[in-house]
Amino acid sequence: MMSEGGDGLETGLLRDARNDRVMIGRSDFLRILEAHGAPEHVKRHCMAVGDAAVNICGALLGAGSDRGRIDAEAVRLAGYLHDMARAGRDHDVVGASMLRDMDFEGILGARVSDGLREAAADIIERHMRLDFPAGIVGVDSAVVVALADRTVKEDAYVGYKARMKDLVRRYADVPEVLDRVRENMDRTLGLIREIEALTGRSFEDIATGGHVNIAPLLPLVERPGRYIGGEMGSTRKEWGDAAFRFCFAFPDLYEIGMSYTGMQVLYGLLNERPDVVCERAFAVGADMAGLLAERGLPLFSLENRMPVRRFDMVGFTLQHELCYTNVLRMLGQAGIPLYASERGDGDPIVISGGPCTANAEPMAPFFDLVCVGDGEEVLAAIADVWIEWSVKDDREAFLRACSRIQGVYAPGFYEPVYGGARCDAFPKFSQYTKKYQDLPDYAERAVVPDLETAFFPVKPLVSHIESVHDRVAVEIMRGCYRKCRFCQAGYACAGVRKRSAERIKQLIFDGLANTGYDEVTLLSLSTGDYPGIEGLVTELMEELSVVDATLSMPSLRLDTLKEDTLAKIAAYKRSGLTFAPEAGTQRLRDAIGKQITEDDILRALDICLPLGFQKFKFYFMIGLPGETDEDIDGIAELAGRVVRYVKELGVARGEKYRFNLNVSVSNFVPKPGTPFERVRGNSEEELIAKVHRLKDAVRKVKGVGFKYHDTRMSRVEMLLAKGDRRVSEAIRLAAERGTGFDSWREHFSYENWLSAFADAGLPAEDMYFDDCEFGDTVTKNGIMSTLPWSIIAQGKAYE
Amino acid sequence: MKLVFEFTKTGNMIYISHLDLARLFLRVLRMSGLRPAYSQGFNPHPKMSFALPLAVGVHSTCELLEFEVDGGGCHSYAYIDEAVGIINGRLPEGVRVTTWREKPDGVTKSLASYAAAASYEIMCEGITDAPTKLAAFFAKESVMAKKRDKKTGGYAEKEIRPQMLAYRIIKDMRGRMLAEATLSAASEATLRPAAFFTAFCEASGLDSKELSPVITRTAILDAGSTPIIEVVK
Repeated sequence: MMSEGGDGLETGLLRDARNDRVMIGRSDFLRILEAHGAPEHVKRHCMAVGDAAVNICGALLGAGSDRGRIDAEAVRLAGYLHDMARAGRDHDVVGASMLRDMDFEGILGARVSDGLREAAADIIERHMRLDFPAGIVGVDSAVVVALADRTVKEDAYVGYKARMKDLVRRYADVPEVLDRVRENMDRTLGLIREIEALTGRSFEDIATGGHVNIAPLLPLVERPGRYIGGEMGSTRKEWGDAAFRFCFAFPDLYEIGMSYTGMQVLYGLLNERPDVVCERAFAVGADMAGLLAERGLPLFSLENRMPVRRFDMVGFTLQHELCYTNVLRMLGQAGIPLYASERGDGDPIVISGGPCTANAEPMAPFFDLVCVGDGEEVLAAIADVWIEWSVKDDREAFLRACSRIQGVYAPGFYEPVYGGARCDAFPKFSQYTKKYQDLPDYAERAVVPDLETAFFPVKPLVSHIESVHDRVAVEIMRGCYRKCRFCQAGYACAGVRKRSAERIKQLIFDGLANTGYDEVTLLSLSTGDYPGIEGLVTELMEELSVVDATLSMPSLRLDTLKEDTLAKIAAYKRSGLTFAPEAGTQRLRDAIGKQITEDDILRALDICLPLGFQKFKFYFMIGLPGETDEDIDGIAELAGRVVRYVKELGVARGEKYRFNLNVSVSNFVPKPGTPFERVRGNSEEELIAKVHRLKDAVRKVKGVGFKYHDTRMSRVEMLLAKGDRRVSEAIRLAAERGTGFDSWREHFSYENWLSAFADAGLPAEDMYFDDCEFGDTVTKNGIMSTLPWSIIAQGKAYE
Repeated sequence: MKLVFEFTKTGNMIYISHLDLARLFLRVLRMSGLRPAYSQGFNPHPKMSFALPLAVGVHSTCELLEFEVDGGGCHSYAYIDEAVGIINGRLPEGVRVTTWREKPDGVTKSLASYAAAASYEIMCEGITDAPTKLAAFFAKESVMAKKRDKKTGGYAEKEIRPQMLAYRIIKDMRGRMLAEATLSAASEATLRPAAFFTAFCEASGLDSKELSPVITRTAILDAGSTPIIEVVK
């Protein structure tokens, strides 16, 4: 466990003359060094040696070393100030006398006892010319400081051997010094080995306080700001004091993860509790991954730079299927066994949450627990079980206790059985067998009943480096009134829950005050459907303009907004507007439950064009169930009609509208938990044929841009979304052989995935579909397939 | 009202890029009640600038930021002191405003336009006989170094000797270099301290990849070698 002193922990105690106790923190030492004119590099060196000395001291005392010989307070005082006179000659002697005369009262308003002052001065005086003792019993305060000084180079721990290499080089031409260095070397190495044996930890682990020493790597990597932590809104707590240590793991880069509001909520929620430490870990870039591997360093958390494997629990958020390989790569980098079944008492509990847990099976073998539904209360409940559970060393018992919490699924307790129905001669999933009879038959989703009183962070983390969304984001509503049949989020969330306008405003203005952001966004699945959205938006825009902040609404249904509201948006947002008709014909739009008509779009254009909006984006999907060529062509035809309409509108109104339309097409992926979960996903060939047809059709419409999503990425997404537990083997192989970051085009390799499926002995096909039209309750042959994700109660139950 | 902040950038914060630092200051200024004024126009931008961008990985005790305070009016010095206190309370560890000044009306040019050179303290272990090596390096009439070509984006061998203005040994230490180098920061002829150090290593038979120098910018100077902070005194 981390000892005091390492990195900014204000726990130092110094005796004053009246024998009261006075806190002197790490930042006070910085002030002392500054007051005595220590240059930047000296300050940094002193702080690093001080940290290491305090850590070594703590480990030795903790392992039962003689408190009469090692004085923790003298070590602390001398360690942080040992080189304060290094800018001048004879810095050891000068430094010691500086300490003897130091005006602590003037600098800090604290007094230091004469005995302590003298003990520390003595250490500083001797630290350059110390002969190391032959055995651990001879270790005293001065030896502790000297050991720290001999293993820290400038401001980073490098170890004794690396440091000695420098010394030998430096004194190559001074034999008397060199002899002494060499003579001490064997003794010191022996001493270090004894300390390692006594404490059962490596010396590096001791000196760095168990932190992962990434300081020497930071100058070598791209965008090092990703790894430094310490942002506004971040919390660094003393590790040793916590009853529960949770690492929130985001399986993508820092700048992606920092825009994720779910992390902000859980981070704030857990850190509010004094007994809980919550830190963050992100997937590291390829350069950092390479350096960590080269130096044998594990994946680390940002706050205390602790190895991820030292946390009690590690929680991954699964936002989309293509991040699965990153989860496995992060577990590997952390040194945590991949499979839950291989983890033992020394390993953290690894859990997951997020939208993808609607089908937890493809990743099930890698997690001890899976959280389904709203995360806030579940995570708090799991923390409580951890803290209260008397036999928490027994993983099995802990997991069983957790599986009683609503919203928790313990996949290891459910064994899938395959057989019966086949897909291409491949046995499909048939049922689960429970390990214990008292386990629930399926996992219920967790539901936060009231959003108004639910926790929401007012001091969000502010990314050090520009992230995807740098703004205050406030969740105004959870769940969705609309039930677009393809939308997993709409079905997964229980009924609609809202925050009141007053609470929303309070969260926004607190957030602005605590971050300095100048942009605000309202989060929900369909902001336009928030009851009273017109009033809220109007008021917010007025109130925000007073503080020079703006409002942006990513998922606004423009067709529902009134003209005056749009006019207000237009006043500062000139960039563009987005519509999502999703399908090219009214027939298909009706079939997928998308309640938007062509008239809605044209009416919205009537209003938007005179307001100065120029760029419009229309979102469509291809590969939808029941789709025909007519629906594909319908997309281009709709675009054509819109272009003509705008031209005619301009003529009729005597205006020349600048108008730019982009058609953006993604591939429909049937998702578990939606009414379309039994639909067969399109094959690669089908999708490619449709894209080609559409591309040709859109090309004929003048002035319309066309963008489409990578077909192969969508195919992999589909295989993972609808996979059963056997797919985990393909994911493991893909993670092992690939580069991770599958959602990044430059990293994604379809070939890698195909060979992973082949070597896992699995067909790269959608296995779970029924030969029926949507709405049929029986298939043509009368047999409905059993779905592997039926182990999780899907959101429909709450409709 | 125009204000100038002198601030430090040390510790982990040396790894924050120039643009991200600008974003950080915009945010803390907003929080402090000292909002920067914005330019008019289609894409308003804050009237805020740094005297001389600092490379990622280099410490500094002398960074300069100037900005026009929003509203055109004047704040009392007590108000500004209080705002700077708020700013220092909000800034992450490693960035701290050390002093502030009101930019005199007579100084109309930007601080950046005065920046002609900068001094860097370079501390590095594993370099023996630094005084001799530095003297030999500065005695050269020509020093070629790989420099990035701003226009093409590629690297090219360029003459850097004219941009190496001066050096001094801060302390003659055995096996450890502690020296100060003053390098050109003129817009067309900027020499980065890391490029200087690499060229020095090459000329002195040292492997720069083996060494890990701690470089700290200690002064930003005008053409007459006066620290620019004096310009606004």
